[in-house]
Amino acid sequence: MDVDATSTTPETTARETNTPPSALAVLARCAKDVEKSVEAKGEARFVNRALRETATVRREFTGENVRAFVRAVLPEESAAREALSARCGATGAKTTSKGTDTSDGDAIDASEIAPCAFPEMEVYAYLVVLMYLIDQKRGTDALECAREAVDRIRQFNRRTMDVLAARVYFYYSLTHERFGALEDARTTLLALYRNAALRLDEIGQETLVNLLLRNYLHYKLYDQAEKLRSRVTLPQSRSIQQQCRYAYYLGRIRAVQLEYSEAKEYLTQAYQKAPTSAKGFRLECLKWITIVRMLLGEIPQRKELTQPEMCAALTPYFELVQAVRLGDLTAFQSATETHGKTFHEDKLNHLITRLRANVIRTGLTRINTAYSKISLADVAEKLGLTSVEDAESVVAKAIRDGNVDAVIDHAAKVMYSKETTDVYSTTEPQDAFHVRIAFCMDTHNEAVKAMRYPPKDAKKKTPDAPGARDVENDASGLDALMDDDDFDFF
Amino acid sequence: MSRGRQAASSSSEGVKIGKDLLSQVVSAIESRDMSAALERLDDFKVHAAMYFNAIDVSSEFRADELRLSREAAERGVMISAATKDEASFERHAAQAKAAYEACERFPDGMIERSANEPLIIGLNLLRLLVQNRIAEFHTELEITNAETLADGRVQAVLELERFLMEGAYNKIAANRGALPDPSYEHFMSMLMDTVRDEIASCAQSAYARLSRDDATRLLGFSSASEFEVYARSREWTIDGNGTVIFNEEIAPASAKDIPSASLISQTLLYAKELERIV
Repeated sequence: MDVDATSTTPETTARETNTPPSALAVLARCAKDVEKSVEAKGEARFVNRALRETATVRREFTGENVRAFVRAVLPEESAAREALSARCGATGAKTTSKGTDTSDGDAIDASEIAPCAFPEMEVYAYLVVLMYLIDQKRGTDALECAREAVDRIRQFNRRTMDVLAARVYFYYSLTHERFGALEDARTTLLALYRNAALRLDEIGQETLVNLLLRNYLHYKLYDQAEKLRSRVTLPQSRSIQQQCRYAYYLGRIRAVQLEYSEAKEYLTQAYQKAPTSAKGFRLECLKWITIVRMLLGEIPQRKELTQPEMCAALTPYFELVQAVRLGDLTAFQSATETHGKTFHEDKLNHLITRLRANVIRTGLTRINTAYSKISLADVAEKLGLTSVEDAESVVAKAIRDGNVDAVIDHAAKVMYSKETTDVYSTTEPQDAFHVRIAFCMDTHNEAVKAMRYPPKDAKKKTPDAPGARDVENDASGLDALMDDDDFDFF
Repeated sequence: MSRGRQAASSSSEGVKIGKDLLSQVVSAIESRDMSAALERLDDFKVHAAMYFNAIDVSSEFRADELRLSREAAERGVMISAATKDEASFERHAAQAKAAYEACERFPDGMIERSANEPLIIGLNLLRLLVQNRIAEFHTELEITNAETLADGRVQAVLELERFLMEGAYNKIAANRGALPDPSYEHFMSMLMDTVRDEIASCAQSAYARLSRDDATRLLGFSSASEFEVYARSREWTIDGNGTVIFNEEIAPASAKDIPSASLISQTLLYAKELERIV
């Protein structure tokens, strides 16, 4: 069986070297991969490759080629065949530019695709149609299609379907988010999670947990999200994409709960693990990291916020950082006011209001280092506080919290700075070193862990030569292509 | 069985009785008889559980029932705030929140927002602030809608939180006189106690010395004797001229300052990790 498959592949590739492979040809290859994976008892490699390749030709999907694919790949007695091809057909008539092609839509040569009776193929066909409908922004159709697909998946209990099903769940949630109410998807997702957990469907579990977290956070239900998160057990082996997402959501929850250092840790993890092509996701992470770091009293570096491709989107945050760095309360206020809408959309407005205290604190630290003695009235003026009494209690708190080293003379209304002590006589350098060493150790351990072989049952399947070659191909392509497709939707 | 279900379906009569019961609660609150109010409220809850039907959403009486349940929960919050019962406050606040959600989800937006909603939300936020449950405070804040947030009664609490974070304790004291609603009183007085402790600990580290009068004013005591009791509880010394002297002497750096325990654990960690690498 395998020999057959490999003997045809060189032929098809040879034929298409002069022109880039048509979408249909790629789809045909993917279908073959899906089939192979089922025959190999749910080998995830093949499906993953199919999904990756599908993503690369996704922009070339038209009503005609998707329809031709569906009609060719699904056996005639399949009920989904008619339903799905009807869905693609409707646009063929609707779109004006493609209107002329409709007649020869059926004429597209799909003869090289053999029908396949595996239910997995049906799910794959659903997936392709769903992607097409989403890209065409046909909301109601996409929603219906997604619901049908999920209903269909629930009729089966096949481990060979897990990877495809997880992807369908993702698009199910996405269609609800884009074209309907994300809330409506919640019950279904919870039910699906229950099933996945009972069936030890690992990829399904982690995908669904992330989708649910996203669902809750969309409505700012941090409480529920945290409750769900703390109660689910995540599977041992996890895909990097899902790990990234999970870390991102967890970071957001922690940030709202004022656990800033933990939040920073998770968000940075998400940011670093995400592939560089996932721009939207990285941007989102960066925004959160910026705010959380400032809440921790750190100032993000200029070059982080002026990366060329994200610069425009980060301008509001850049202004905020400036204000916090200078401890300039008026600049801070004007920045929050002018960009209030952006911050609101990013769901960061409440976190940003918490920054106010930090702005005052940095301002105070600057004053403290610059003056050895200053009247509280001047402090109030410099910080933009309304009265001397305010300034006095603010300074008192800063002293108590150890932000500034000073003494207040209440009668004279003056603040005296204490001599700055030599940092090197404290444990400060040691702590800084410790943080770095811990980070290096961690990186090392992570690297060692990443180099381990996958669990032994994965190895058993690849004694034959063509299989072994596939492994190599896959490993080299994995990092580069790490599914940039669905990261775009953040 | 079918009879039981019949009884549980919505009816105009059920709504009417509910209304009557609730008006008794209101009149009991107005006559400041909180225990009676609480009893009447329990009557209402029993009635609601028996006769209001949450399943039959299409019923024409459902909107009225939701309104009544919402008001009942709100009244419950007010009663608990007045009786200073925090556990029951928390319970009622949760009920009120659920009721608001149910009203919001009601089809066609037929149910208008309750005028008391900002008050209840504000009270609840204040409670979280007083109990120092800041994480929950902020989580709550995230799900509160913009309209409610803009209300003065909620804004007042947000301001308090900001002052607390900044350390503008004097403003909190000043705000006490201008409470947006009398029901804030109980939590506010609790907050004042916390604030006083905060001011005291700040003063302790920020000032070298402070005259007795200044300290009395700063901590918001009305008389010097009250202050002296407080000063004794914090073990402050007051010298002959009536000046409070805070711990002035600076301990010279000693062997005790070396954080030996943490140093040892760090070094051991390095050793362990290195061993693993080699």
